[in-house]
Amino acid sequence: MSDVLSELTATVAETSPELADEWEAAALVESFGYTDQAVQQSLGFANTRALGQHVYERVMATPSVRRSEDERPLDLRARIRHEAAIFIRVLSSSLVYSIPWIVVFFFQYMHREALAIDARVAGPITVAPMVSLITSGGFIQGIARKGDYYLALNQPVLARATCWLLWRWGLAVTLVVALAAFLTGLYFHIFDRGPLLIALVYYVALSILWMTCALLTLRQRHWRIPLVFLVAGIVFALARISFGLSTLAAQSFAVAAALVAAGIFAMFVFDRNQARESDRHHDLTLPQAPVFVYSLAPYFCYGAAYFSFLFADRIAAGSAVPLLTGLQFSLQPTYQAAMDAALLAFLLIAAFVEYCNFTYMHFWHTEARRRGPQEFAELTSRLRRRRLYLAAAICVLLALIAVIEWIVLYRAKPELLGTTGLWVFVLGVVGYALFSLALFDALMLFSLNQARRVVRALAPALILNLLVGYILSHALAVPYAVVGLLLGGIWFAVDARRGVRKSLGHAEYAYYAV
Amino acid sequence: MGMADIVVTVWVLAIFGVLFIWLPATRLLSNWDRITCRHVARGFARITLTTVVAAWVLSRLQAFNALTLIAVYAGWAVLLWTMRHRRSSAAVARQRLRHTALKAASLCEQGGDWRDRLAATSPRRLTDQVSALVRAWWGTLQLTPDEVMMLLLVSIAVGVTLTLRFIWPLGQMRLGHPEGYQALLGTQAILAGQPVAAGPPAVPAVAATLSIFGAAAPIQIVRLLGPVVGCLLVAAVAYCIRLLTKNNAAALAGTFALGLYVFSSGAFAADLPIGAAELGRAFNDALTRQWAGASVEFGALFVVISAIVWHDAKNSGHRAAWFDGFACMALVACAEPRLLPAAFLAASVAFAPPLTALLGFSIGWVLLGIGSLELGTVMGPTLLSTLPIALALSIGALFHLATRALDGVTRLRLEPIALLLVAVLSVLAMPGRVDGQYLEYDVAARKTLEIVNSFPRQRWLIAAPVEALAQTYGRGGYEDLQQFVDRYSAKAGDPRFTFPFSVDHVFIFVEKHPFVTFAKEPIEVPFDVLTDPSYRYYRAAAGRASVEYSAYELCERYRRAHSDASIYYEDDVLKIYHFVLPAAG
Repeated sequence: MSDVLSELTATVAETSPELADEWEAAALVESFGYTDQAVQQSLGFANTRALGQHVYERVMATPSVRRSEDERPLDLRARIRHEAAIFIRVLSSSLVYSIPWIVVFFFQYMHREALAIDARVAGPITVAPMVSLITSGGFIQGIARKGDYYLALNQPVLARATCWLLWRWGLAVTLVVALAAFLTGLYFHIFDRGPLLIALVYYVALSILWMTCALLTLRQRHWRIPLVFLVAGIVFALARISFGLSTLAAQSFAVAAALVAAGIFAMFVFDRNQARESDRHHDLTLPQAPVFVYSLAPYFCYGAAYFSFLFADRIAAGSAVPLLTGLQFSLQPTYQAAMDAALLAFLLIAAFVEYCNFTYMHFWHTEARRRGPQEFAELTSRLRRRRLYLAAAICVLLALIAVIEWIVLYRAKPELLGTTGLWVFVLGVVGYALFSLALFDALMLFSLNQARRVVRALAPALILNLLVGYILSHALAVPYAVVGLLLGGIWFAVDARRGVRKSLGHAEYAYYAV
Repeated sequence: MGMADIVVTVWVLAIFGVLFIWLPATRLLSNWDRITCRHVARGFARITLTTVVAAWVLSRLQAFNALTLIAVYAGWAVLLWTMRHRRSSAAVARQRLRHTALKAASLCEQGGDWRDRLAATSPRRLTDQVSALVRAWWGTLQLTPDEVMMLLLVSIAVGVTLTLRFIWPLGQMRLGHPEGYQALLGTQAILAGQPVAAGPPAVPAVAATLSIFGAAAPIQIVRLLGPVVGCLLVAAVAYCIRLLTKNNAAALAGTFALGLYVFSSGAFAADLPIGAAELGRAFNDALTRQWAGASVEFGALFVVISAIVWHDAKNSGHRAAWFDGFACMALVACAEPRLLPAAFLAASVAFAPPLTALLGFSIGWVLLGIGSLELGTVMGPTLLSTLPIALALSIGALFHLATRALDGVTRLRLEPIALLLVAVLSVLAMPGRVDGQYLEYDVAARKTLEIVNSFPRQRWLIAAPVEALAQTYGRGGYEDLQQFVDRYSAKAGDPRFTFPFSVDHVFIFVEKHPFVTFAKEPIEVPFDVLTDPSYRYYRAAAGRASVEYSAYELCERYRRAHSDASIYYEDDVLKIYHFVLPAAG
């Protein structure tokens, strides 16, 4: 009994070293699953309050119990090694998605003419990946969050079941959207029939690919994703160079190869023995669908809105084609090159933003454990200051990346970018910078379990981005579509900042409400 | 008339009904608790004005498509929703979204059960609803002899009105009146993002909108819009008379007059002394316009609707009714500005007692028409072509006056007898024959449409008489046939010659039997008309024959010298040559 009591006391001390009072201790004890009856029978106390009183006195009397291993002072080199390890781990998990895109971008930038496709087909094929990310973005978020959540709870079978359920729902939605798009496209003559069919096949294939990649990110084995895209790149190069196929055909084979590789990896994401065991005994109960949907809805909306925001300016710009050209969607080369470059900078900085959020929340957690209720004002002040430093670091790093990028790209192909390209690039970088700052605040709000606040900030920003970009690109000229991104970024940054400021105003409540 | 034509007609009419009649009368786009014909008329005016403005602005922004149009209508619905719920609109919307999402998730969890339940209950529920409606309507019917006679006469009036207006367009793809081509060109201009070139935007905007939502070619829309507007005009005249006289028989009299178009009879013959026999010609022209009309008839429709709406504004005093009245006037200005005097007349007399208003409106409109012709103003021909509408209103008003005045003079009820007399006279005065004022063969219009639909946009060019320009504008290239022949006739026989067009396909329309525009060529033609290239090369029989023969020779010479030339289509009257050009650029 005394062992159980000691273990319980140590757990309470580790969870909350600076207990406010005996009621907090009692609440923590109850959160571990202890009821009055269990406490009476196993530990001999009258009720959880009495146990809480006892635990509180023991924890406050023994300072050494309260300090965890993490907080023992480290020497400088150890601290640097520790930070570097975290930096590489967080960065790599984010950058793995960006690396394939960065490679494709540079390749396309340098060999634009060689990779050209007929304009009638290029338009729909450009739209397909964007729409695939938008419609599958919510499911990607759901798979990643639920998968990580159940794996962290040591429930791999439940993780497998829920992730594959979300994957199947995503596939069903993709097929329904594809069918609706086909019928709508035919009815409203949006694209010619052949290019429309090709684009829809791309859309379905890429949606499946993104959702399968979301499965591959579970269990921290991020190396699988670059491998999938490496396979695709090899197949593309072989098809184009060795077999002399057209760009479209080579691209199609590459996508198919990526799908096959991702599918093979996905079969080994979860432990197949455990899965077989579970299927045999039929002892797995999934969460109720309404509860499942309700808990995932904000993340789902966020995922869809996130990708919609990233691509809204391109959709607006691409649709601003004069009707007399006979094309329905076509991006100007200068605009595409400039915005691709800006997006590249954003993808690189997004990994850093994730790292900043990780360190910030870790800092908050450490500070909250160290300080008592009488020091909440000091805690808030330190949190605000830390946030400011990190936000400044994000802006400086993004500016540096943008400058280096411009120098490299402009030297390579000055005729492609020009003055218009420069302005679009600058405004695009500023817009993505604001989006990065907003993302930093959004990740913080996610960590504080305020996902709905993020969606409420992002939705109007998306509408503003789309509306302003669409109207200006059609009324004035295509490059003005980037103004929508800028204004949407401002809105999102301001609204997310407002949400964070409100949370920091009650830092103790926001933290303990998680 | 093929099955495809019927399907397109039914579909376009359904889209028109849903978009312009049903939707604006629903709770989605209105705040009315009870829907009457007045509300339907006002809703029609509102949505038409919204559509015209939205189409013009969106076309100017090169953003005219189904999505932006839906966004406009959705914006209207959202605005109404916000005004209805005021401060709680966002909360109500969130709550409904949450409820829907959770309900959907619950349904998914239940699996197949909800599908079975839905399949079992829906047909039964629908059957119950329909039978309840039919029983309620049947219960209100009082089958007295008067009611039966009215029902019969209404059926005859409606049936003949529909037949007279739809029978010609259903069988012909080509447009029945020269003004139709102007409307078609305007529609194509709006679809191509050039609304300034469209002229008065009302008809082109409505046609372009219907073309988008109906997924039908603009020529299909324009040829069907004519009879639809014609029928709506008859309905509007009937309702206007009914509203201002509260007399169903008077309304029916007006319906017979306009619906059966008694104005082509000898009583309105061409030898009347008014306006140097211009009156008879105008009435005959107006007969074609009953089913092939465009801007003038559309404008006249809103002149009549404005009279209904001003009456409503006078009675109810609501701000919305005043707004609708001004909307009607704006639509008259957008459709046919030369009808604005009639619209102002409708507004100015609306606030008099109803019968006085109707008499003032109808007789004033008649006097406007005849008077402007006599005075030789620029509005003369336009106002004159709407004279049958004004006369129909006058007939309704005079019928009401006469029957009320003579009521009680004898023991017999005069109204049913008078109505029967009007019906019989109308049937006897009906036009025996209706011909369109065609400018091309029907097969030429059909083949042009086939080419437009089958070949990729902007990758083909048609060389044909001037009517083809309206059908091809914005979709592909067009060359005037006479200019085409002039430019390339000398070089066509050279094997090294290729046409300098950056397209893949060239189609040349050659008439084996040149189309004859006039049954009888006019003896005297003003000099400015004679020197107009369109008249000289395409309206005058000799000119057209000469151009077509030259085109035939050019095509045959080219075909002999080039292997990529073929015959796309040939029949007794028309031959279409197809030249495939080498890949451009």
